[in-house]
Amino acid sequence: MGDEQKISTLIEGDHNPDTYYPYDEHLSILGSCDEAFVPWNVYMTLQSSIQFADYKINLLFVIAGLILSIVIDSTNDFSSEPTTYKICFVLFMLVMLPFLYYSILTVAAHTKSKPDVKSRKLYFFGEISSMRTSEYIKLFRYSTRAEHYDELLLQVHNLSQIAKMKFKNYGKALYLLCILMGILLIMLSIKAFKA
Amino acid sequence: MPSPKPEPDRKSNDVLTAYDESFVPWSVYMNLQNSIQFADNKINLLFVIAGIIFSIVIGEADTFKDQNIVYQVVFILFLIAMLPFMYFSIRTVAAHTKHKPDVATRKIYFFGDILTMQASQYIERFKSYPKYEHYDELLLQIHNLSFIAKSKFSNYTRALYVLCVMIVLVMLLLVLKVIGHG
Repeated sequence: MGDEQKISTLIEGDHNPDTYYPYDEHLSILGSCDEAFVPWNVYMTLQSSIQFADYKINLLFVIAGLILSIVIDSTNDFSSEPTTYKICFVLFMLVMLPFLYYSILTVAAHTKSKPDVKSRKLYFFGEISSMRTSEYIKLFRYSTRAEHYDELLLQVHNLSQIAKMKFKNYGKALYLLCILMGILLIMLSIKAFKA
Repeated sequence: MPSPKPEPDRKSNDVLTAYDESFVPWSVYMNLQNSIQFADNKINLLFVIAGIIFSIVIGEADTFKDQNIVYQVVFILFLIAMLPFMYFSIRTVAAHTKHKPDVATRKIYFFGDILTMQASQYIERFKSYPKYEHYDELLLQIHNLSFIAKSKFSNYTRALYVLCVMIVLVMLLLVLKVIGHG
């Protein structure tokens, strides 16, 4: 009896409450213990890396906010400042825009590419919440171990893409913040020398 | 070298002898809990950033009357943008599952359900359910958590976009102020 035939036979006899229904313990994901420890570790590590990138960019946001407040404070007598100061101010505002752009791209990064493997909708919350509870329970139970592990590896691939995008954009935002800090230092120096 | 951990008794229906055989759904469950906490931490940071921006703008409120009409309009726009930001932030923090699952809960995992009964009742109930009921309840909780996570991340993203609008408005205020001085 093939797997699909076996499943359809088991679906018909769905009312039999067995621990591993519709499969036996060797085929069911519920009987698998921690044999999938390695891919789960990779998955968790990637989740952790994504969270780490988010914490890092949030810190950059806070630093940029503080720098912006310093610049705002120093604009009270803007008209009396020398032209170089005014040019630096305009530069500061211009650099602030791509900084914001890359920071937002870092925070809001999501996978854009369509994977060449179909998702089984077992693990990602966006997909899980798109179905009814009973449907999800059935889908989870009726997916074989092999299908579960393939889905897990697909999620690992998706997370890798998100992590890559986040760190790439974070790097760009970090360089721009350094430029912002440099401009701020020049502005403060101009002010100091003028005094 | 064989593992010292005994093999789970496949024939037993007792969940207390199951060891970690439901490792996969528990991993999914933990991961969702983690994602929910992560969304909360992220929104808390947005609150801090919004607080910094708000204090900058409030500092400028003293000179509001002396500013031109464009400045005043942008200032009011900033305050208006603050409202949806607060709304989406609060919805992110206070997200909970609204949908009614089409499967009855066994009340064995969610603390709100657990506290509806006496301790002795809970102990009895937990032990009385066979493994398959435990696993179905776990999958039900995963489904509930997915709803919460989706709602949190969706509201967080909206709050983030509104915060970006607020930042742009602050920069505009700054430019208008500078032009006014010029």
